[in-house]
Amino acid sequence: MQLDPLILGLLAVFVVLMIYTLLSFFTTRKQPAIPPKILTKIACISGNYSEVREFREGDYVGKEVGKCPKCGAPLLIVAVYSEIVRQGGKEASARS
Amino acid sequence: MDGSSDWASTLLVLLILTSLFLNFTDIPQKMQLWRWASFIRKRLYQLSEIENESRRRAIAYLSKLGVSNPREFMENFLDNFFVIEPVSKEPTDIIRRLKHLLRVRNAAVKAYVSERLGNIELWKRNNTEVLLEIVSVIRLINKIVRHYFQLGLKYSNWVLVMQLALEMPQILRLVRSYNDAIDAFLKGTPVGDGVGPLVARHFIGNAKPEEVAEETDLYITEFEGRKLYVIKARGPGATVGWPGEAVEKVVERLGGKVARIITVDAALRLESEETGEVAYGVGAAIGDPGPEKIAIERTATKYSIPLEAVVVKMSDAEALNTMTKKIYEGVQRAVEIVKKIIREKVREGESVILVGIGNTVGIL
Repeated sequence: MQLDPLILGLLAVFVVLMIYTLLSFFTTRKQPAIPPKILTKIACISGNYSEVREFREGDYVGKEVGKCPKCGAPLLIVAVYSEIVRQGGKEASARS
Repeated sequence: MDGSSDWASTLLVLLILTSLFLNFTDIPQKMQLWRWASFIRKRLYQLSEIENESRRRAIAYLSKLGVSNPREFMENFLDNFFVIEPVSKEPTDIIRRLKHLLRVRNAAVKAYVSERLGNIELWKRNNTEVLLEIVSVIRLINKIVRHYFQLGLKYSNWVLVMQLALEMPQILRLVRSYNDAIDAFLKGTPVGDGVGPLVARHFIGNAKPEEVAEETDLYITEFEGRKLYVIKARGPGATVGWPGEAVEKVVERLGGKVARIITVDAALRLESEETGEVAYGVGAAIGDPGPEKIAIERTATKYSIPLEAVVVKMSDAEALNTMTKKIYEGVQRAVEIVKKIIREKVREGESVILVGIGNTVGIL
């Protein structure tokens, strides 16, 4: 049986719409978000030592957290910030 | 006539009938209204979930602080403490009236919180106030959205419902960012809006604070031979202080002999801009309802003091949540810009005022 061009056209439209619907359904699935890590940056007031470690409750910028292992001057928290650390990527703690 | 032509004719008739049906009846609008309403209902459910979650967290925090009936304490706060804006038809003194109303409201909130929390540290009291404000905002947004949704359905106003449906993703994003902000205030980490106080902190060194206005400190220090007056809200609790009043008092105390007033604040970025971008210009960088900004502008104008503004760009969600590394990098760039302004525009021996505008949570 030979199909009418109109029927063929409508079938084509139907197929395209189905593909579009299915594609939009699969492509809108979001990847799970990586929770950011909160880091605390500590630095010596003389400026020759700094360290980044994970945030601990009670940390705030300007808090004195010990003595510098290099020169003995006070160590202060200079920043607290969040960063997305990917697995196998950057280390959460670094010294300089 | 063969079978396929019959089909074609039937389809053609159906198409024409459908076209008439869609173009000359209100049914398409009703169908749209039904679709948009269903879309909004799903988002309203999410909105309620977020509100409930924020309430649960607030109650848990208040219980931890030793509040005897945290639910009642929170519920009493949520729908109260509104501010009725002053009459604007008669603009004389409008700023003074607004300032008065804001102070009265602020004092009432503080009294309410202090009464139930007793003698606890200032930063915990400040964080509790902000926590209650956040839950209150989430509740208000939820109520407003429901109001327009019900209004749209009541009068079959499909335009209103459609507008609301289109706005819902943005509204949900904002509410989610408010909910996430609770974490930052509970932990006491600096938020994006804290860029001003953090820049100010870089210049303070070992200087001792002196209270110039309520919850607002002045630090007197030096920078490369220039006398530096640093003003910021008192941390590490969540407060923005009263920077306008502080600037007014410091300038008056110095008899207007100030070479520059530099304000540093967070600014909302456009979608085409990057988070952490730093820009500088002229004026008072402060986003208050009016009284603090006008106090800085009036003082600067009275003594012809140039006003410099430095801003760090971020989205509204980033301003409310724990400061990101990108914003922190922006802070470091802003510090360098402030240093450059002082070196180039303030002569040695002159005085300059640096004001760190914003919420100082997590920043001493």
